[in-house]
Amino acid sequence: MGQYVLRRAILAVPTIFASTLVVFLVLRVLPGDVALFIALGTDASGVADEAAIEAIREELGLNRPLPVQYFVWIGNALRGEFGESAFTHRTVAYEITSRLPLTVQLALMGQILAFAIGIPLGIVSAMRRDKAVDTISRFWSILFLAMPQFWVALMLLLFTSRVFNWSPPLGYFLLWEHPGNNMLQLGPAALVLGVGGAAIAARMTRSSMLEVLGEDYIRTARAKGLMPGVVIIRHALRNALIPVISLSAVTFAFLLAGTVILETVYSIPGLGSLMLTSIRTRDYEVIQALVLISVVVVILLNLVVDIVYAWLDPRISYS
Amino acid sequence: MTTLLEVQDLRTQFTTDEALVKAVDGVSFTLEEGKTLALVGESGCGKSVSALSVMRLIPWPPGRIVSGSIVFDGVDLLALREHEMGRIRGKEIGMVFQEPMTSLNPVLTIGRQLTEALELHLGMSRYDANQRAAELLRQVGIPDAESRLAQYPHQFSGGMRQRVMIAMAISCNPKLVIADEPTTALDVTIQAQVLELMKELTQRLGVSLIIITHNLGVVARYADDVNVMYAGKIIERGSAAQVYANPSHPYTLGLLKSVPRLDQPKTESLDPIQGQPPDLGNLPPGCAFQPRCRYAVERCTADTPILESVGDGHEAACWQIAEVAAAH
Ligand SMILES: Nc1ncnc2c1ncn2[C@@H]1O[C@H](COP(=O)(O)OP(=O)(O)OP(=O)(O)O)[C@@H](O)[C@H]1O
Ligand SMILES: [Mg+2]
Repeated sequence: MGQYVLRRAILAVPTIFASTLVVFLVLRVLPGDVALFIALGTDASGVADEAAIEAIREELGLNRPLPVQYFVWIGNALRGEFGESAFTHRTVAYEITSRLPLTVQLALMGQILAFAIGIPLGIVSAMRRDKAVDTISRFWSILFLAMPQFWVALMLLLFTSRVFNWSPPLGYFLLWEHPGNNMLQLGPAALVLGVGGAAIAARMTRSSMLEVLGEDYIRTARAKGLMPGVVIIRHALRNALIPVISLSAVTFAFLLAGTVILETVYSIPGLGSLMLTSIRTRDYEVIQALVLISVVVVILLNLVVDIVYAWLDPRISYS
Repeated sequence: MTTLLEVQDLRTQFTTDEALVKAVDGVSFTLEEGKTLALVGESGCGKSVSALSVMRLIPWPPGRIVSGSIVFDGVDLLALREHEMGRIRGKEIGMVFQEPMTSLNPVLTIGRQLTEALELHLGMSRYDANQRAAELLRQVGIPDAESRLAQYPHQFSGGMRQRVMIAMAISCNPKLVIADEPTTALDVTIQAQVLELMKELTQRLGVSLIIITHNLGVVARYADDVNVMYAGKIIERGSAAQVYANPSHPYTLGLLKSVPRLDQPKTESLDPIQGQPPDLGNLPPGCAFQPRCRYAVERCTADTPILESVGDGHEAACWQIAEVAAAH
């Protein structure tokens, strides 16, 4: 097991390098650079003073050849130094660590809701195939898959503000400092993330459950005289969840992407909104660090899922 | 002698997109306590569906028992509620399935799969059930039983898995074991071992046995009585000795001629039945075997023959019984 994890970690190194290279290049190819935005202001409405822009570029080291810039950045990153934001002049480490808790919490809440709603719904759907419950649950799944998340989020915002005259509080609230405000702020966003994820989880659970219910070993279980509930819980569920869990690394990555939009809609000062602002202003150091983190998170997640997978399915062993 | 199982005019049908498949179409048979009954026939003739009907394990949709009665130990199984049937399954009737590779749950240990029925039906504690499970594994000839209990199905070979299935089927001291082609999926050397094991166990424990097979050698060696099935119907029945000595339906005759026999001179060549088994969703009128039958006459295409006595407890459903008898 330990060896397996080590092997996976070694395999992750080239993936991480490749992704940093891609992001680095994409950022440089995009029109406009951070110097321009600093000189013109973030809405790019000022008048360009070539000399001033050039001075900023010089100061930020943007005039150096691209390979040099890349290796300087990578070298610093390897030493744990991610530089500072060209705009706020705060360190990237500070920008990220201060916002990380909100996003982690939002993503976790979304994922927990997705499983807590989606998996039971999928099971019931499969057991009552083509009955009313199944039809309704499938209808809702399709609906939430089809509606873009930002739209659902906006509708929810509109609904609560029009009908109840309520909208989530604005500001920066950590769960352990302001639990009430924190939940009120993150709750609606987590709900939107959760129902979207639940739609996917319900569909996957349903189809996988239906497949498992047709397996020979389910017939064996019934031939032993076990009650239907026991057959489902003990014999079908674990088998049915194997594909759902193994795909959850992918769906969680989608969920992380969803936080970018939801944090913006609900003005949550998390990593997602940081990502968006820094892309808009070409704040290279911040974006690069954020992407690096996302890549590492997704890789770690895949590893965790593989370990859970091996625990669920005894046929798989990593020793 | 008491009757353990009495099946009367059983009809089980599947509704598919193309047709209504009459998989079991008016089957009747009885099984005496302590006896072994063989159900024989080609692939697709309704043997498994008959067995699953007795267990009431026909998947709906698409399948359904449409009529008939199944009386087991004085109880009409078709009148039972689902939870009452749960006390028969596994407890009174054990079943061994055709597919040992897929019939065990891949994510549960062999031990758990054995103990759950013991806990449910015999009210054993987890500890007692474990002891008993180990004993069962020893009984079916699996060495190292204690450590094997903690293993998963993928760590067992096909033959070993079928032994586990047998252990499971007999675990709660059932009155009846239904073995659906218990050896078809196994290789030949293992087949004999598994069959011997079943025979020995059922005899020792006094369990009645329904053994489903398309191997007539198995019938001759292990069965008291034989039901020969064709296209969802029983077309010949009798004691194993009678059916062997005096096959009265052209299909039975064909089956016997298509396998080598040790009691016949080697010079006799094999003569397999021509043609394909019929499509149960689209049967010809009259006798279902008639398109493949070399004795067929005009009448066979119009009227469906019914079982008629050809000897003491020996019956066959054929209009040409006399000609068949004359021919061999
Ligand atoms: N779930 C099902 N849906 C539709 N038709 C079915 C189903 N199960 C069985 N049948 C049909 O019932 C008929 C009898 O099948 P059955 O499994 O009893 O055959 P069998 O005699 O056991 O054959 P084999 O020797 O191959 O096991 C077949 O024609 C099959 O197509
Ligand atoms: Mg079969």
